[in-house]
Amino acid sequence: MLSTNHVVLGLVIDRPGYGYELQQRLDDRLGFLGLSDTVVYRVLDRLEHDDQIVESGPKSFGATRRGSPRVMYVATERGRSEFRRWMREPCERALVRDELHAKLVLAEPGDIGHLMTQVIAQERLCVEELTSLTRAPLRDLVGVDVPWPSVASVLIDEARAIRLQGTIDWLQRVRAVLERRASASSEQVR
Amino acid sequence: MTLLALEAVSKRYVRGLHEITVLREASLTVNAGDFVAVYGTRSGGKTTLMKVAAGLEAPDSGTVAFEGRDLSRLSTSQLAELHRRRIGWVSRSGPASDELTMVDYVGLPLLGLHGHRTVKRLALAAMARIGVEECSPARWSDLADAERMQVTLSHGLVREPSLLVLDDPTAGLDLIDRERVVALLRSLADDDRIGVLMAVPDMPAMLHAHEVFTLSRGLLLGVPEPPPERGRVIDFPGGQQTA
Repeated sequence: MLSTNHVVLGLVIDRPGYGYELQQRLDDRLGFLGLSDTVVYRVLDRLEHDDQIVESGPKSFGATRRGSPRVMYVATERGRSEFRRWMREPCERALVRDELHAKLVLAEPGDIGHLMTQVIAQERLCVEELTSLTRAPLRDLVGVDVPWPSVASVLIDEARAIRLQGTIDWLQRVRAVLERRASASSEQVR
Repeated sequence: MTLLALEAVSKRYVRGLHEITVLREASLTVNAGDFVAVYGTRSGGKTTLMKVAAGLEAPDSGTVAFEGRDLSRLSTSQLAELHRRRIGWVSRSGPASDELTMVDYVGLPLLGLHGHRTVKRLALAAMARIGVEECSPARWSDLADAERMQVTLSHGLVREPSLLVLDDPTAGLDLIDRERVVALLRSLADDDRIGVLMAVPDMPAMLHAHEVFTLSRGLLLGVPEPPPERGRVIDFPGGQQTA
């Protein structure tokens, strides 16, 4: 399972920050994880409780509407070593949890038409998602002058596109089976 | 400007006892400066779609128009002229003979249009544009996959086409070479205003395209056009009104 603790901890290690600003950075850099807006505050409390981050310096008053104090956080040595441990740990395989899977399992014979519509709609959604990933190219991935964050973002998009491809291939296979079954059953009726 | 417009194009093949629908009312357009990519698995109809789009095969129904001209109404010689000058077809097949050096192969479409020297100069310039001028004295069998792709692309480009149609241009390339080739296609669209249409069996290769489609079992799927905005403010003589 994805560890939100380590994700937020990594952002603090990258650069000390306060809650709202960390939330923005989470959204900018790791928005594809789909984490909720409030997760950062919960995680910061947990990390502080575990001595992995500490408040840094006096509280400053930011330009927020309510004028609430901003607490800057920095990582402790304990936090850094925990982050390094996580970085070396093998990743878990993402779980398959999909509403369409449940519908396929529970479908009745009369549902084939609806399933076909949904399968095509899902494929369209995947195309839409791929469209959202399209970007201007980075010609060179190996030159030493090319900043690593740019290369890393290409690699992340590569993973997302490959995953989408897997989903689309599967949807197309499902559609093939549904089409064949639909035509077989219509011939039977005739 | 609309370069290429496929409108409700269908195509069927008969294989033995079976009739296979390769394209089912497929529609797409490519404008000057567009980079359009189509994803499909093996034998999913990609090559047929690309050949129909390039005017190399005729559809069973529907229309294919290049710059507003219905390709089915063109004579054989008019179509040949389009292929020689305006539409660059890029596949992975390479030259028919391994005797040719790559600079001669790249210059083939220009033979008869210019003198030998000019053809060679233009061929070298096309190869330099793609970054494979060092392959000019080599033969096809000497080249690696990425070089073959780049040479074939130079062959497509040498005629200074307004449309490039590519069938699986990234086959056999690793991520680093693939990024280089696809970035090049993107720059042909962005900088040279060429319309680029390619089919690939690999989704990450589509990440630099302006528009993407999937093709399977004859069905070409893209992102639907957003519905026209309602109540948009438009200019009326004498003040702004809502429509």
